[in-house]
Amino acid sequence: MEELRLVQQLKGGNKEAFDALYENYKNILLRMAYLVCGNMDDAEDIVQETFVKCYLHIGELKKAEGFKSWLFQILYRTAYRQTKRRGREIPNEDIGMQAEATDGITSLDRIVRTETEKMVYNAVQGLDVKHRAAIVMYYYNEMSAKEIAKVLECTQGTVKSRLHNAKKKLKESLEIEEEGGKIYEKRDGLYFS
Amino acid sequence: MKKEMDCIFHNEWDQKDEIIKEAFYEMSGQINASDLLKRQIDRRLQKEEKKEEHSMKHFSIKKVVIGVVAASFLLGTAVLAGSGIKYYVAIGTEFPKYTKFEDIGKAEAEIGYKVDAVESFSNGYKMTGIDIIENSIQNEAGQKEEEQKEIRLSYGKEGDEEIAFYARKLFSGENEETVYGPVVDKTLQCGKTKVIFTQYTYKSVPPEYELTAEDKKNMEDEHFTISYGTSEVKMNQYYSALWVKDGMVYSLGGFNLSMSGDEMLNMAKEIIENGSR
Repeated sequence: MEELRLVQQLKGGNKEAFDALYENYKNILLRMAYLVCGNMDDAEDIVQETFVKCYLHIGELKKAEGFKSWLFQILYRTAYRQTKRRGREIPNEDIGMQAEATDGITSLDRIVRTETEKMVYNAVQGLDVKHRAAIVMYYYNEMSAKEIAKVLECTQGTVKSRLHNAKKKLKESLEIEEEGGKIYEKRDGLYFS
Repeated sequence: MKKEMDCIFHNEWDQKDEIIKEAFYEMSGQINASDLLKRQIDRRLQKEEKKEEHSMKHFSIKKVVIGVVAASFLLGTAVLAGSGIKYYVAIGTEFPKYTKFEDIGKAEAEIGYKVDAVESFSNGYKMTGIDIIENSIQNEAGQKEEEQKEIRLSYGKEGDEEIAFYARKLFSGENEETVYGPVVDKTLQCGKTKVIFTQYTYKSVPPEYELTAEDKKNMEDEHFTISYGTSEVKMNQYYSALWVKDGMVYSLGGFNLSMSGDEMLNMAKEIIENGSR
């Protein structure tokens, strides 16, 4: 209800409503953008563009209830264009740097998690942007096929197909990684090799 | 928790799915938007607003009223006799406040005056909604110098064509001459009231759109208007009938209509002759 009220106020040109919606969505959009595009610089550009478009085009949103899907749709379109424009969908060097960055924690927990993250991230970034966006919304945002289809502006069948293909590729990548010597087993919420 | 029916691979959810999901959360969990990001966004918005304000200086008050059909708010330059540049600001809502014609009395009570209006027209258009628009005249410092409420009635018929009808009081300094403006395609005299019909070409463009040489040439014609704020470039034809009666400004308008100017003028005539209730 609070979000509906804010969206209606934003449609009337209320900047404070925009600021409140920004606070609610800033981190979720930045994390989504990072997972889809693979580096922080591009992710921040994408989020900046998304919020600017949101403010300028809010009049085009027909139903306030659809704000979240609409916002995600802008993010996805912007990310898609950004990756195409850059002519590179896999900014490997940035991913490597991000994954290898340490914060001084040297516990087994942290080390194992970092290895897992690196492995998954490399596999995800091996997908094209359409499949990557579907996978991010599916795993990270826990969205249904119907919700993802709305954001990606395609049919549920297309989403299911993309997820099926993406998961297949992802799992194959993980299996290759595992053949390299690491088999992950989950114990007490952690992954141990 | 995801619904089972929505979870496409729910039955196949395995350890690798868990690994992927957990990894996503771990990888992105420490990412937070910086204050700098917000400042950059605010700077962009300020720039865009200045750009829009600049571009809207080409609008006449009449064309601003046109824009309300498509947008929730719009800025324009008011043409007021004996005054400098003032901004005309109209704020409306996307959804009608009332949907029955018998509620027009409630809307009139809100705006504080009665208006001429009909429930339907002889060409088949019927009222579908009533809402209120907040109007104001602002100076260049953004201070409101005068404000009033305007009534808007929407009409529709089969085929999805929509027409909006506006009624408001004249602002101080406004008169028939400033309201009608220089662009007139047809006129119809109804007793003492003159109704003018004008067809505009309305080019909607994205905020970052750069005017072409052809646009600049077209803008020399008062029939042509550029409107910033859409996601893609789109050309629209806007039909407008306008009249001033008893200190009020009335207008009918619609985009890409299949009707002729004469038909719209006849609709105006029906309001003038039958609209007093």
